[in-house]
Amino acid sequence: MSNLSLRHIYKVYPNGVKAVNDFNMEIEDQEFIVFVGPSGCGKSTTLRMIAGLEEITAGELYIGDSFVNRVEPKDRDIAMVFQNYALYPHMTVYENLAFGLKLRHVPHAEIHRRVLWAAKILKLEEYLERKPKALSGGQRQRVSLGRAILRTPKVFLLDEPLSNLDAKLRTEMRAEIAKLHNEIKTTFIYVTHDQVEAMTMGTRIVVMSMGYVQQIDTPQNLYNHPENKFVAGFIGTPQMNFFGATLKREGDTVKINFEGVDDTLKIPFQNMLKVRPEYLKGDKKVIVGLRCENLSVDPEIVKGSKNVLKVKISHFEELGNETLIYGDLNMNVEGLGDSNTRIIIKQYGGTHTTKIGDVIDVAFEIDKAHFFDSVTEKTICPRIPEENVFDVTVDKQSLTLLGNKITLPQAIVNQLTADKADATMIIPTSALFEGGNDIKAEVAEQEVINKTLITHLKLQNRTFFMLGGKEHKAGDQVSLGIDFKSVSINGEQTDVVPLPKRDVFYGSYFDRANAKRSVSYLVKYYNEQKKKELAALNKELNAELSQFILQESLFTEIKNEYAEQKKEILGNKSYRLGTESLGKEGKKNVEREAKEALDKAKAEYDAKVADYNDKKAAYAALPEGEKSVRKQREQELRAEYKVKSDAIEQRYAKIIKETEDNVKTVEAKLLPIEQEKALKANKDVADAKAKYNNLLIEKRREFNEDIAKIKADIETMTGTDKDNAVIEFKDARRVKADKLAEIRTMQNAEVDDIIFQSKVFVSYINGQACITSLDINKKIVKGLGAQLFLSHYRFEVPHDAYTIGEQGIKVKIEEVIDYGKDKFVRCSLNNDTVYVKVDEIPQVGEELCLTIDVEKSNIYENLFDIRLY
Amino acid sequence: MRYFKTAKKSPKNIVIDSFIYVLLTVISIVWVFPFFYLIVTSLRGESTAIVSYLFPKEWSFKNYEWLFTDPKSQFINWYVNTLLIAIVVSVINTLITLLTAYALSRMRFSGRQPLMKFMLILGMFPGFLGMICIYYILNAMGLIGTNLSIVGLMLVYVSGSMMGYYVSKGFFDTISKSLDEAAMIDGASRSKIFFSIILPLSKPIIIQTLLGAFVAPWGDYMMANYIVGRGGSEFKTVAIGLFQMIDSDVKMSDNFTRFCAGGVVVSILPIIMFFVMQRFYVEGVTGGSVKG
Repeated sequence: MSNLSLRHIYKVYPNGVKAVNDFNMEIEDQEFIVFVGPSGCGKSTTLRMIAGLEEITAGELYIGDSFVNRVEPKDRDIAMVFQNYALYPHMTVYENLAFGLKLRHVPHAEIHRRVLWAAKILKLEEYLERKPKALSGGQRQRVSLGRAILRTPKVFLLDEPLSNLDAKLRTEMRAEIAKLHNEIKTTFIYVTHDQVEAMTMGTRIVVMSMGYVQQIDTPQNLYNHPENKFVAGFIGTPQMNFFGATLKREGDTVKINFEGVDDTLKIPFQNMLKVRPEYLKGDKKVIVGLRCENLSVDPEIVKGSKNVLKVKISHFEELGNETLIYGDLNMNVEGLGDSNTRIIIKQYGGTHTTKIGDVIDVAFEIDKAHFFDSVTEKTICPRIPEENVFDVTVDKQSLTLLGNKITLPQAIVNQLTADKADATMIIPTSALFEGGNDIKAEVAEQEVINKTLITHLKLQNRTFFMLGGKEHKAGDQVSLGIDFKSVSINGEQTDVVPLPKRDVFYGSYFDRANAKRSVSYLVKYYNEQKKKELAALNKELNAELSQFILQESLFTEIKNEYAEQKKEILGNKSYRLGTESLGKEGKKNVEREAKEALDKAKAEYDAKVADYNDKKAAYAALPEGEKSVRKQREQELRAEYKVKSDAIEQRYAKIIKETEDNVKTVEAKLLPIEQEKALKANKDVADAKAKYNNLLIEKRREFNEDIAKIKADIETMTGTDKDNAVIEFKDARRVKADKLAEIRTMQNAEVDDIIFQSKVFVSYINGQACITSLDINKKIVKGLGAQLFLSHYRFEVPHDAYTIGEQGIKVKIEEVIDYGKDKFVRCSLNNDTVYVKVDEIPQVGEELCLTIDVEKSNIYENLFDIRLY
Repeated sequence: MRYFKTAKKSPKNIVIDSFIYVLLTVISIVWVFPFFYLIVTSLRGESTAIVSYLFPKEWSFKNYEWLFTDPKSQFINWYVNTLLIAIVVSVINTLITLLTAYALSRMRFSGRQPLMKFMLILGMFPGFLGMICIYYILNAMGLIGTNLSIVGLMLVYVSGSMMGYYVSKGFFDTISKSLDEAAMIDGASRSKIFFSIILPLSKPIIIQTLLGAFVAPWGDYMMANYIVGRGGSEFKTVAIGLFQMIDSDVKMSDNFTRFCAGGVVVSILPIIMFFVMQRFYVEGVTGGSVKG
């Protein structure tokens, strides 16, 4: 089995650059995976992490079933082909191929057989005695491939193997690699920046950008259903056309109104079912993407099409069999630069009668269009919709949704303020479930996308979606329930927010020896939080004071702000001049822009100063009586805020003190547990050592017998038989050494494992230390190494992970939240809110003691936001 | 027939060119003359003292004969000592230098940059600043002026060798790291990579380091003088021995031509080495390994 599993893989370089962010992927056996993206997107880093050439900062990597984060590259059973071939120049092709096998002490005859086999597959037989210098680029790359396939690895890694070859050779080698994949049937991971290579070779493609995975899908799906604008623009040449536009629904059609264009296009509403209604109101800006092959200037097609717009041609690119026509939808733009209305059209056939500057009709194949949000750049028409949005009427105890009256649970009712109001209700597709009795609807269709079943439901001419559920025929009636926990209702006077999915705690994670060190980092974090809170409070005070009193500090603030602005503008200017290649004109532009920005900042500063002076004069002009009244008020307000800031100070002082005190108790508590475990571990280690030592002795005896036999045989032989036997003898001795070394490695691994299991780690959350399970320990220690004591952690706890008991974190119940079936209480803990799932409803105001089940929580490293568990 | 037409020279160019050639001639005479004088004097047969004319009246090899055959001459002993020191030092020195350079070029460890800078700056101080210190250390070890002084001398020459990592590190940096990585994936350990992949590709830098490390002790006078200078005369190096042949007026008039003969013999070995090893200085040793 050579499947790969990458779970929450991160790469953070020592200088703090995050090269790879939360990479998650399951790679099946024999897949051909392609990582593609622009340079610097983290694709090569990911590959090198799989190869073991780069350390994994956090996350888990499994090859087959074994965890390989800390395994040496040579023991991962992988092979890699490098962009620059990396052949050993002083060895012949044969030696290059045999090198890896020789190091693994494969018998000579076997090496010879396998080298010839690889040479045959890759047509290298004639060149075996040549050195790499005497080979062409394609041949060198074939040797490099050969070196990799010889070892029959579990995973085959290729790092831009074709980018050093010329175009013709590249096409040939592309076919050859695809053939190779068919022949040797292992998992291939292929890195390239060339989307054509990716599309033609991959069974699945991972598109990456800026260290984030943008989309993982088959080539066809990437082309047809890009999840965001980046993927849409990256896949396909020439790039997809993007237009700024707004969408407005009019009955069964949706009108697309392009920016700067008077004419509109129409698309059937049926195509836009998964789009959230807020995008279809005509006021939200979206990006429409349409590939140039879905545009046509063919008079026949234009005649037959309903969706035709005028385009002003700016220039052409002749490619022989086809012509790219560049133009603009906006008649007032020359169409050479990038704009929201710029358009590229592919015309097949080559000949065209149009000229630059002509205005022609272009037919839009609008049902092939993609729609993206203009801010997030994510598709607004996802294949798996996330939310359903309904217009509802909210009454006191119930709401009306598509004609159905739904009784609201107490938790929602409590949040409603108005008696009767219209509102929008957002129900996540995952919050609808079959079997409830909130709404009845008709199944319109069911589809499976990436193993997720999506049910299209119909009610009163409105289509909406549900994830999961049972399989149905179209037309079946189903009754649905709504999970009100994740529902939000927004109206003019209503604002129902969903229950947060998890509560967030900050804490530490450590063992006894490192408790103090680890907690000092937590204290540091608390101090920072305190400073932030105090600063916020101070800002609030100043804002309130400035309403009625003149503050001298205001002037300094204005001055500082201006100085800061000036510094930034100048810094930005010199950065741009230093890093961008601008040319003379560009440099002038930068200078001009900087000057303009400076002038603007100066003007603003002057205005502010003038304003301040006005205020000062006005204040000075006030009668003395009024002044003293205001001064009085200032003092009162300051005193008021002093109380508040003191409270903050005290609260943090208390937390810090508690934390530091608690550490001692935790240490004391852990000591006996640790000692007990250590005793047991010592015994286990001794047992394991004895076991392996016996095994070693036994194996050594067996091997020695075999070797002695071969040696005895050699004495009796002559000629070539003897030579062969000598080789066999040498091989047998090597095998013996290897096997014994393997047993020793196994022994060390087991001993290490026993010792690790005997270590006691705790997660320390709000004064409570709980001993964490081996699983968590392994993940965190594997993820962060010794860095784990220098970090602080974020624990995201689901509401059902609390146990109410005698001891634990003390929280005060503020409110009962009753969703009918599920009941929660909102509790306060210092300044934070905690939601706890309860079976019986307790009294408001009561105190609860909570212990957290860390195994149900997610654990993040808080500085770099690395998910560990 | 002329294939390339050279630009017609202006009178100004002619003047400049002639000046350059004259200057070069003078420089080369200044350069070559001492060696020429050495050879000519070593072949003088009529007198062993310094004389006021250049060419000998009687050409003869008897100075050389004296060096190698006369029972009073220790020259062969000195020669063997020096050769031994130079060989041992050059081998160890080269190995240490290359290993240091490789480690600094390939491995990333905390304190690598400061260490490199520290070594570079330390290397800028002349070695004889530590003379007194070295003297006391070696004296305490019983390696000054004794029969084992040669070992002390070797120690001194070898001990600072990793300072010379800089040039070889620069060379290793030019060898693509993907070679190391490929070997690593093939299953090679660090030492295996160094000895069977990197070293075979580094002939020029090995030769360079080896020659440098060989010549330094070969001609060294200063360190050698105070470490082996006061020992038994058969335990000296050539530089010390030869100098001590002429370190007084009487000896000078007895031995000057012999001294010159010794000088010629001493310089022969490095010259041969340079000529033989020069051919390894070929470029393109890494040709074909990686694209570039």
